[in-house]
Amino acid sequence: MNWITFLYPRAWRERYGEEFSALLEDAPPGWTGVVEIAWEALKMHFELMNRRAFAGCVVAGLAVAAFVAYRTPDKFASSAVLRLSGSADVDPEALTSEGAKLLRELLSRTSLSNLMQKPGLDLYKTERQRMPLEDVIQKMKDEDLRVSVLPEKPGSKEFAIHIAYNGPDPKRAQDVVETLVRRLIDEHQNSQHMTALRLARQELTDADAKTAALGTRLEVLDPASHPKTGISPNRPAIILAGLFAGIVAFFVVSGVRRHVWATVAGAVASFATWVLVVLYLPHQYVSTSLLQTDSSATVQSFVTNRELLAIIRDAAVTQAAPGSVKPGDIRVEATPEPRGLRIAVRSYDRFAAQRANQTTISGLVEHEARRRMAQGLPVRGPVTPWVEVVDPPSLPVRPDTPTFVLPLPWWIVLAGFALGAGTVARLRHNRPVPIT
Amino acid sequence: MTDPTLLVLTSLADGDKHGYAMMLDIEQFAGTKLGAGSLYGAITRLEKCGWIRPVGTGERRQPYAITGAGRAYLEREVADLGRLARTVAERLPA
Repeated sequence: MNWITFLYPRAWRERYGEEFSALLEDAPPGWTGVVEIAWEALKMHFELMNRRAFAGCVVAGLAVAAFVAYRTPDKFASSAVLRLSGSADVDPEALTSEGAKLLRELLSRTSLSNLMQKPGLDLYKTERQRMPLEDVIQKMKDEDLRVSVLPEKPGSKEFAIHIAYNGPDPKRAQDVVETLVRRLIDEHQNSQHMTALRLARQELTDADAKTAALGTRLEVLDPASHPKTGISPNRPAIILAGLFAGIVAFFVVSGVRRHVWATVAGAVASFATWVLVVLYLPHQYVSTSLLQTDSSATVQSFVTNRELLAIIRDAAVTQAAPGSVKPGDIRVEATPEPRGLRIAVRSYDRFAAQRANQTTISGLVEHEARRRMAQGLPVRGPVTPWVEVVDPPSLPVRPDTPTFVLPLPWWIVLAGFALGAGTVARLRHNRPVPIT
Repeated sequence: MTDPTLLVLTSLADGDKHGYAMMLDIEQFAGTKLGAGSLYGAITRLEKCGWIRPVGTGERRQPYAITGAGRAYLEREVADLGRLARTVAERLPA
């Protein structure tokens, strides 16, 4: 039978498939002919289907989508804009460095975990009960919190910092942004205070102090807004997804109804396989850390120098976790904003992952110090250290199992249908199915 | 006339034909190249309505014949088309 006949419903194929294939042999279709046949095949699917069941599935899909759409709580976005500017004495590099320092303090693990647990805010309460704090912080950064530096002309002596947060209610979203703005201002004042103190102690020269925090000014351009309308969920999109899911469900149910035992057997077999895989596949853990630096040269020297990375990885494996971590399990990536390096170590032993991460950081820091000294560069800047561990190596709590195992429903559905289809193909018989 | 069902019935009016023969015949008398998908869509619908039926001994190139009900339907349609053609001719200025 010609492959294109498989676009038609099975019942139709069993009645007309052979003669249709004979016609295609006599008059082979061009690409427009293939499109025409595909369109007619689709029409045939709709003509031969059970319209009541189709309508039922679509209505069910829409009903579930409507329920989900209206039960999903709204999210409200509040935002604020600040400006960090420098006096005439300030070097643009020093201004950028001061801005980066403020942002990494603001986005550090300690700062965000304090924010979440602040009385009155109590963010992600349910998530904090179920997930490790690391993951909740990551979720906050990935989904709800946006801190960005609005681009200015190169060499400009001012730039804007935009802070936005999506919260479950307008008041709380505004409170979070207000708190972050206040922290940024406090941090800046603290930095200025420390610089002044070091200047008084004569640890810094007057010129150094002016080019650092003392020469910068942080001001609020737009205070935290009070959002009036929600930004999510996208209810029309959810309803549309429900409609699509209903149509898909109809075709799935139609297939399952005809080969119910094969499909159930496939699903059971795949579930059993999944259970075995989960039970016997050892879990892997990932320890992460974040280093930030005031120099893009530092980042580049690590990311591009593969030989150096290999040496540092080998040293980390030998010193911290021989047998538990392989050099390939240590990943060092550049993070664009704020500028720095993200280190992730994967291992079956979570303590070994953390140890190897710590040793990798030590290796990186040690190498960078030697490089700077060799080039006659200061190992520490006037105020800020040249490299800082913003997020120290985490001790992973939850295993990061291989992604092909998760999520469970997809595994069951996909594997179930694959096995079901395979079984059906083997058991297929030639009994004609009447077209109704 | 571009309705595939009428084209198929017209093609079968002068004798039994299989799909490819119908395709060639329709191209000749109507100047329309009916695609394989449209042709078999029409055959499926016509057989479901009982206006055509398969004939022969189960060959791969299955011939079809028009039934009495199919012929009656075709005659009605042709009469309607004839009336329509006459009305158009009367109303159009010469």
